[in-house]
Amino acid sequence: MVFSSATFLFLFFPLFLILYNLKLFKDKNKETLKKNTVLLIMSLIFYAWGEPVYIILMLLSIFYNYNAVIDIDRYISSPKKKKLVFVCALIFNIFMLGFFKYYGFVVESINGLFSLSLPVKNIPLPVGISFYTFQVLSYVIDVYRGDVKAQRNIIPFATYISMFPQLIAGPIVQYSDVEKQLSDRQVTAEKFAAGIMFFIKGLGKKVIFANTVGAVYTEILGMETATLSVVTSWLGIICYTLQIYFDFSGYSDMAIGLGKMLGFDFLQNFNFPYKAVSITDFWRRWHISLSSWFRDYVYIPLGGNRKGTARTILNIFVVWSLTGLWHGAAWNFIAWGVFYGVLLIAEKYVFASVIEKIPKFIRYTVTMVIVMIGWVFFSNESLSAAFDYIGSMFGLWDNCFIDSTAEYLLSGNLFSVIIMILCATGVFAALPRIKNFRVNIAFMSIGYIGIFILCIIYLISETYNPFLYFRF
Amino acid sequence: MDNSELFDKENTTANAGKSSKGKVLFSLLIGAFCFIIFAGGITLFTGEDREFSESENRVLAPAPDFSFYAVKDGSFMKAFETYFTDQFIFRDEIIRLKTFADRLTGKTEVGGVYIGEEGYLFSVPAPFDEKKQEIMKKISAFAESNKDSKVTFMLSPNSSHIYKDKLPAHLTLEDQKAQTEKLQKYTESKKVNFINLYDAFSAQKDEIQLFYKTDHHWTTDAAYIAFSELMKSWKKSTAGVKFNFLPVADDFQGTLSSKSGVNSSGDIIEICVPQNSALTYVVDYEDGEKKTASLFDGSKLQQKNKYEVFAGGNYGKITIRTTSSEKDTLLMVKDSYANCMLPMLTPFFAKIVVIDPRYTKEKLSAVIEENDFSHILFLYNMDTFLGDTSLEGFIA
Repeated sequence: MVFSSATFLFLFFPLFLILYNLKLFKDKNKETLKKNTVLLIMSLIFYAWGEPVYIILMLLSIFYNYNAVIDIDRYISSPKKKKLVFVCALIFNIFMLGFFKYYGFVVESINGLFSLSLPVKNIPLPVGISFYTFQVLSYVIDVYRGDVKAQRNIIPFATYISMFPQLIAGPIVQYSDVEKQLSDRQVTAEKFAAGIMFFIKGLGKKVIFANTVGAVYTEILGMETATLSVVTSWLGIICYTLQIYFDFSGYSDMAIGLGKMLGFDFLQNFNFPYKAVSITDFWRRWHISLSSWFRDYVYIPLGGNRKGTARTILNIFVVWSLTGLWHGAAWNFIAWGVFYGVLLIAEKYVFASVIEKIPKFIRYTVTMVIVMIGWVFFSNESLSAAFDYIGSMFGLWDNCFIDSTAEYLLSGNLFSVIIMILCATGVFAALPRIKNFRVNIAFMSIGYIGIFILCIIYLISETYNPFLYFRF
Repeated sequence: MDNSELFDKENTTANAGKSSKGKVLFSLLIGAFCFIIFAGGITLFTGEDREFSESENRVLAPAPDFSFYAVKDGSFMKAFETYFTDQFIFRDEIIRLKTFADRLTGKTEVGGVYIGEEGYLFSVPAPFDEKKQEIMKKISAFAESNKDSKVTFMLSPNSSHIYKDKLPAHLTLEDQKAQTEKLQKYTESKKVNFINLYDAFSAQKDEIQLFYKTDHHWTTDAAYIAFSELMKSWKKSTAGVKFNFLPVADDFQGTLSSKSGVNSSGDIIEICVPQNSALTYVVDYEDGEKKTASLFDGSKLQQKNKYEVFAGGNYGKITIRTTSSEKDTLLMVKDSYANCMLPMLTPFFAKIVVIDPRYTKEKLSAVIEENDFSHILFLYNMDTFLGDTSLEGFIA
């Protein structure tokens, strides 16, 4: 199930709210256990709605890791046994993710490298596996390191893994961040209202913004790349740049909002990444929970920047190849990751002293152009298609600067694209507030409800599907 | 929509945390949010399911049947999502609001339809396809081998070309006149009489409305101009026949209106009836499936797609036998543009066989073998001709 569907919004979530908030016990601990149980069962239904078969895989992961971690905890006095269980758990989780996500890619790459023709089986990717496997790993590693206590009760643990708000598209919540909240959390009216605002904001980003610009980019991708005018190709990549941000951060906002309505506080996942003035800055603002995960569980364990320059550069490359690969099982994603690895190393070692002297405006422009070029690689499955597109952006194929297609696309989309750029770069958010707190809340409430209604209008009309005797 | 409030992170959370006034202050937001989500769900079960959507012109999804296998392969869930959104309360109103919002933001293309000026809607034209020269060659070869029949190829331009001054600003489309001339060049045989309607239409487009505003078809007036061109080229005189034009509907919202969700004032449909008291005819649909004594189906005026008043809609094969004193017989290979022209032709042929290759498996060779035709006419609009490939199959 996805949040931006009628079934979730109008059936699943209202039903969930009733069950979740129905007070059965006076005792606080019992009530929390009831809440966790409701959340767990409803999350399993939520997952099974979209993945009725692969839910078995998630349950397997929950049972295996629950027991493995209890074993790790039990062998605290015998490091060898503890390590063995730990390594087994690592292999299990990485193998599970590797098999379902990368099997086809690995076989195809081997075939390509050695010109073999091993049979490729197309295994559909279980939804959310990249997210919940990373969550499980953070928990297993933290317990092994002694950073958090093993969870003795399977219900809060299973709730942590399968919780529907972040199950499908993150953010990647580390166990240590929610450990306390799993056994003790409060929902106040303020928190619930803040949750609603986050949720509506995220829904708006996804349904109103991302889908609208996404359609423009799809249309432009459908045209002959080499004959795109310079303006059309830039408009296309700007639209994709906006789409991927609003889509992804919208989903994170919805997750954070739902979390708040349930009493959880998840960490911020995006912090206006399109305000960044360097690539390093960009990655501090983009998909923060993933960067933090790689920093905490790959970069630092590898030695981080404490083992000399050569080792640091290697570590950065490992982390960024993995980051690229995490986004998808294809070479263009690895290229995209390495592209960022190179840029980050360059910023760290080559341009570090220069960057400070360059005017902010130029740094910002250069950063955004680099980010957009990155998205070209990200969105084109083959590298050659990506290079073709970049060629069009810089007029390398003798394509004209502007043509009637570009003018037409601009006339229909310029207004909405400008609004979205102002939102994505935080210009609107920086406007002065209404000073009076009550008046401000009243205005915000009305504004958010208006946006919510607009979201529903967009959502329902997406399914507008007239039957026509047009061609047949 | 106030975006300044939408995309502010710190403010909402910080303020929300600070407040101790709690429920009263937030009751508006919480109450309205909960009301909307609960009401949206409950109305699915309280209201009666709609079976048919007039505005979308289709049967809406019914509640799916529950079974273990349907759940296991996910088809139940998919069907349920469709059912829910199809039956969603205020669905028609919601869709109309969306179109309105799209137009507010400057969008001039909705659902594959260009929203032009003065209420004109245009379908996005099919791109030119060089492969179409094959078909022109085949028609040429066919004409050469059937010397007894007059072979005519007539191509109508589309509304988006004739009324291009009413297209949305900045939109330029491929030139259909040049496309037509290209196709004419590919027609190698002099035996094929290629009629290009471009000049005749351009000359009269301002005095006469040649295309519906809300539908992709030409009007009966345009069909009459095309018909006159045909008569000229066939050297047939229309002097003895009077053509009466009668309006039958003034609220026609055609397929372009359905597709885009844009409703304008509605088009007038006229029918053209040749007045010749002695003439009667019998129309045989699909080799005896249905027989009527008229080329109009008035019952279709009660439905959304009123263009089907002409020949009852689209059929693969229609045979018209008339009491005309003429000896000539006509084979017409066509798309739906021809439907409103059929009645005009009845006084001039003893028999007309009408084939729409999109709806029949018959082959040209078989049809020719069964009958002798003095005239053979291919009548297409540019968009269908370029976008559809069934004619290739029919001729092959």
